[in-house]
Amino acid sequence: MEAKKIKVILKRGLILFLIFSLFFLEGCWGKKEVDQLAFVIGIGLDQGKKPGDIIFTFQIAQPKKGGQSGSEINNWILSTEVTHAPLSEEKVFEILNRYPFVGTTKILVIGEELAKSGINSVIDSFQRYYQFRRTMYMIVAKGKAKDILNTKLRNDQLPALSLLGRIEENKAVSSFPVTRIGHYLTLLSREGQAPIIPVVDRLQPGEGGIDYKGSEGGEAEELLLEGAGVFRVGKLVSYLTDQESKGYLWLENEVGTRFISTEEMNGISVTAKVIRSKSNYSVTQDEKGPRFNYQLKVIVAMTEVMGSQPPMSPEKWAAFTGDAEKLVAQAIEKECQAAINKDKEIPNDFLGIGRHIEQKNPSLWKEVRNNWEKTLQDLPVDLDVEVTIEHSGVDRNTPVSPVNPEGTRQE
Amino acid sequence: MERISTHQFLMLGAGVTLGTTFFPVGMTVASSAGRDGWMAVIPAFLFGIPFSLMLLSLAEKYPQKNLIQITEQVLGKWMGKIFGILAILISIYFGGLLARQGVDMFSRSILPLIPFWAFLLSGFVLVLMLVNAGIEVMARFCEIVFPIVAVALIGTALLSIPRFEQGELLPFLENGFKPVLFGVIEIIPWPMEFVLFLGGLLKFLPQGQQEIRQMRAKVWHVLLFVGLLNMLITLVEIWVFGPTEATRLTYGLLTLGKMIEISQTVSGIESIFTVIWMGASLIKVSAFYFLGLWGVQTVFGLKRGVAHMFIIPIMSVIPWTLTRGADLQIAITQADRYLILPLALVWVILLWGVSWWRQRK
Amino acid sequence: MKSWLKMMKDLTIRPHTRKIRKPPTLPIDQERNKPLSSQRIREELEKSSDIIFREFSLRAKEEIPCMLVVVDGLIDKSILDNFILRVLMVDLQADPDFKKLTQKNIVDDVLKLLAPASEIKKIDKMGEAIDYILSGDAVLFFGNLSEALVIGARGWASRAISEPQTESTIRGPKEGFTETLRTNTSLLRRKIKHPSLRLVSLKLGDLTHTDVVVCYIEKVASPDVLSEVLRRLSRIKMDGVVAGDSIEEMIEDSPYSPFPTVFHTERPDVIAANLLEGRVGIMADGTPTVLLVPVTLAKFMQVNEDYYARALIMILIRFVRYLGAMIAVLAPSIYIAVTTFHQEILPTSLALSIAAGREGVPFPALIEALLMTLTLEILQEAGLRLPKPIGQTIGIVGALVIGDAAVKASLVSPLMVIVIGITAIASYIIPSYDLGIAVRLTRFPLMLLAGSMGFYGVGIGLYAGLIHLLSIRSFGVPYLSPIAPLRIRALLQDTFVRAPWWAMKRRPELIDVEDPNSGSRGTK
Repeated sequence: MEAKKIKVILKRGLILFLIFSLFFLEGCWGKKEVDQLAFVIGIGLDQGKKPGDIIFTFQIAQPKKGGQSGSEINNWILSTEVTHAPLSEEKVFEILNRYPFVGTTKILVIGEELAKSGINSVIDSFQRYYQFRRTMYMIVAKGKAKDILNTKLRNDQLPALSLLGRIEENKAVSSFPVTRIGHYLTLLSREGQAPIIPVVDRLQPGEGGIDYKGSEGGEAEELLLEGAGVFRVGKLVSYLTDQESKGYLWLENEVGTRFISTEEMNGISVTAKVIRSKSNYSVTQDEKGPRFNYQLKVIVAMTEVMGSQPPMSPEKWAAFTGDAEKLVAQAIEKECQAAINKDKEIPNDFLGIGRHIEQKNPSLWKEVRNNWEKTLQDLPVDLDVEVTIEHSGVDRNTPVSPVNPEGTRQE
Repeated sequence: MERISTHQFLMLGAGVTLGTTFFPVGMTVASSAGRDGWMAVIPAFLFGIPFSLMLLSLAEKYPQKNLIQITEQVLGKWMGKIFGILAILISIYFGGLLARQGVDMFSRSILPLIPFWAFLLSGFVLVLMLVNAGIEVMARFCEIVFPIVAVALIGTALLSIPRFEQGELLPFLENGFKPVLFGVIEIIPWPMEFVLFLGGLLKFLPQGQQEIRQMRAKVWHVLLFVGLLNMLITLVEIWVFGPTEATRLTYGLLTLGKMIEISQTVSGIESIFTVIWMGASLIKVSAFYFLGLWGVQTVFGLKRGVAHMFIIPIMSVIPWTLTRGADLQIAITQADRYLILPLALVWVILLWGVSWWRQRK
Repeated sequence: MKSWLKMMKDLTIRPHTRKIRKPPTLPIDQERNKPLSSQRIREELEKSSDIIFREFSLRAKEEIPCMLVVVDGLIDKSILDNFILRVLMVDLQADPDFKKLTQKNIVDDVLKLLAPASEIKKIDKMGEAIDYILSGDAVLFFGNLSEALVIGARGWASRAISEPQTESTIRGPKEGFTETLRTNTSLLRRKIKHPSLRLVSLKLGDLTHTDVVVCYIEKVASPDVLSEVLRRLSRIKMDGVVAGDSIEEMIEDSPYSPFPTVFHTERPDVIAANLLEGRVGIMADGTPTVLLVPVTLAKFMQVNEDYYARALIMILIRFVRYLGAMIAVLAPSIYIAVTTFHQEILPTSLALSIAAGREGVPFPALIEALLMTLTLEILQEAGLRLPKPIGQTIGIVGALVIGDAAVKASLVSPLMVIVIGITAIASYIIPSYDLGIAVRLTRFPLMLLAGSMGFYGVGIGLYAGLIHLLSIRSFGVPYLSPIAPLRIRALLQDTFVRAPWWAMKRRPELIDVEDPNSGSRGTK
């Protein structure tokens, strides 16, 4: 009886102790109020002035003081030159009264110089520290990453957020490849495929087919995402042009929606919008050795027919659609071929043909892997593009006027 | 006398077998079997079935007794005591290691600055609450928590689909069956943890003929289902990270959780889901605590309260011996391989064999 | 050490085990089993001004002095005047046979002759006489005889049957129990017209002698539960059962749990439906609420309307109800955990707007949330008992103070106001007031845990709560019953969803009593 009572007392005492201890536990252990944080959206990495130094540029979004809504953001950019990545955080804290919070980092911009000298050792911290996510997007900057993040955009948006918006909507207009750091790391560990990372450049007014009215100083005020850089063992080895990177997108099944225009045939050229695209590959072997074959099935809708056409009956229109399909296929093939040529040209298999051979035919891969770069240069790569024009929009042939240029009535 | 139903047996068994195995599974099998690691998971778990069935047949022959009591009856008092003490020590040691692993998971991935005694103290209170409430409450706890854990695992797998790397799983069996076999051997000790726990649980199982028949089927369900869940997680990890990266990540599942984005509303679910993983960890640690408690009660004939006094100090000291995360990984693997596996193998086979041989005679 | 133990003991051991309250004993209590004496009755009761002693005499063969004792206000005076006094003093006197009666047999003869009363009974003990008088019956004494007649003529002012304000519904019956036990039993009997509806009577309270009725359906209610209910009721030792609700505390299983293990309602239809499911009801005189046992947690999330509206609609509404309950428990603690420990799960734009809102707020999120929740509790409690016209003022002041002024003064962030507002509204969706209070209570430790250890703390709180819920029982039934231990039919029929009536062919297996004798704290 007495023992039981003591047990009850101990039990109650323990419960009371636990309840009270709750009050004392409060207020420690890595607790940070959300308003003590500086939300880092983008990080830029550049080669430092001293060898071994790296310049970290933090793009911090800071809500405006007293602002009731989150849409009013101050752009706050800091660059630090340190030897190791985590030290940069410490450095930032020396001048900022907030703790830099990197959990919201979405964009990692890598300066050209650093990319060329190798990034693998620098990005270790980005995959190790628990706040960083493997879903961060990687971008290579033409020039310095710092400059990209420091660009003052005309709509006052943070450059990192602007880039993020475009990358996340990539499926709407797939004109550049998208690489998350997780994907980069996976490719890094693969044999027979080199990762590529999209390239961003600052765009002066009038460059690259885009014009806008800039402010007085003539500074670039827009950012262009186009093309890609190929990495080999963590080093930037070459750039892909717009056409080549688009070819990569076709072949690697990463095209969501985009436009493709054809060459002129009989005075008529077609522009089509891609609805769906699916690529496949196969490996065959004949007496000459292995052959690699890409099959591409693309479904498009016609968005423009340029040139002049006579009025057409539905039957004629159907025949024309068949021709147009071949035109579109040619245009796609051209982009793909550019990518394949580039793939062979440098000893750098960004299309992952080697990896594809491994997937389809592991025993063949075992034969060729030791001599892969040479094998790739001689490897015949076939390309079959099959285009289906699902519809041609709301109209059939091009607009027709009753009078032809010579002034005679049309037949 | 506490009793659990056959459905509770299923849930309890699955909860204990699954435990937190879904954390190291990807790393363990991918490191030995590479891309084909996922194939190794189910065979390894099915390996536990014959042993569980042997235990159930022993339970039928010697009802209302746990494995130690049966050993005392079949192999003599001293053998029973030796095996009993071995089982007690191993289960308390392993329980302590698992508790440390649960803390490790939290401090590595979401709460790096909370001291680990705070984790341990508060977690230990929960374990004691659960153990004190008895095996029935523990079984009900599993009935609620295990389905949630399973749903969370499947949910993580489904939400990871956008992160899949095309064709990452191909080619199958690039290097033949041998690496897969090594993978199987790596994780064979895991179902043995369940076998050991079942040895203690025998006392509380339903006794009816029909129920024992049902439980034979449930053993299959337990191991198959847990194997499937672990296979799913391994498959997804390899598919998303590739074999090399899957080997490199300590808790691949948490990294998966970090990569999940739900239409710009939630970026990363790992910190919410850790609350669920915590339940899984709680089940596992409590199971080994139970095992130790039953053992101490049976071998030394102690009362419950005194038995607690025996276990609590040992179990709470063990996590302190391993302050390094790297040592912890090794310690758990070694405990699995050199303590739990041999004990379960030798004990169950010996006991079943002797009892079968005697019956024949 | 010893003194420390004693202090802890004083602090923690339940008070009623230390000192048992005893009712005062009067001299008359010693005489309860003695033969009747009108003289003693008069001496004892004369001190109360509400007791009427009407003396008259019957002129039979000899003159018999009589005395009618009633409590003013508990008796229907028209019955008394017209059917008792008039019969005795006028009608009987006119009867020629009456003249032949002698004092010796007068009690039995009047018993036979006093036709117009339906409830009439002979008594011969002091105690009985006093009980009947004080319960509102008329007791008729004849001279110095040790026998008397009890004539039922109870009638007092009572509240009319009306819709209970605490449980208003849109569909279904609108009547509610009143304070009168007989009215209540009649309301129940009107719902279940089968002999298997049993109403067992007890008297509780040493001073109040409150009538208590245990109602159940024979062969449906588990005999184990029933005997346990009767056992616990019979062991109650209290001075008074002023309201039936206080019985709840004496018979519940886990008095230290914030979660209710006894259900109560004011609606006869709810009682009837639950009796049909095998539960046992406890009605007490003077209280419109009726207790129901055994109950599970899911029971507190159900309302009678669930069964009157169509199943599909109610499934959706129940889903909303459970969701609301989850929000009511978790919303503040998750907010605290996310904004102070796990900012990484916030999408960037949301994180920025939370940060913007918190800009300039002087308190940490935990203190902010605690302050707001406390204010909410104060407002809630203040508004509860106020007369309606003043109650509105509370609403306006509350809205202005918490909602607007506090945000403008940067004392709290706007998002916190939203979180607390949602929490408050969500907690009103819990249909049972008792469970609502439990949820309000559990919020505070969860918030503290979240503020000190983030999601790990929330996990600790949730799992501790779960283990607690799993380990309590209500009269032998596990509290989380259809979920764990799993009863698949009950789970699918009537827990998170409600099956349509045509699909509920079998009675739910809710009541599977495993150990009816467990618990029963608070009884002696």
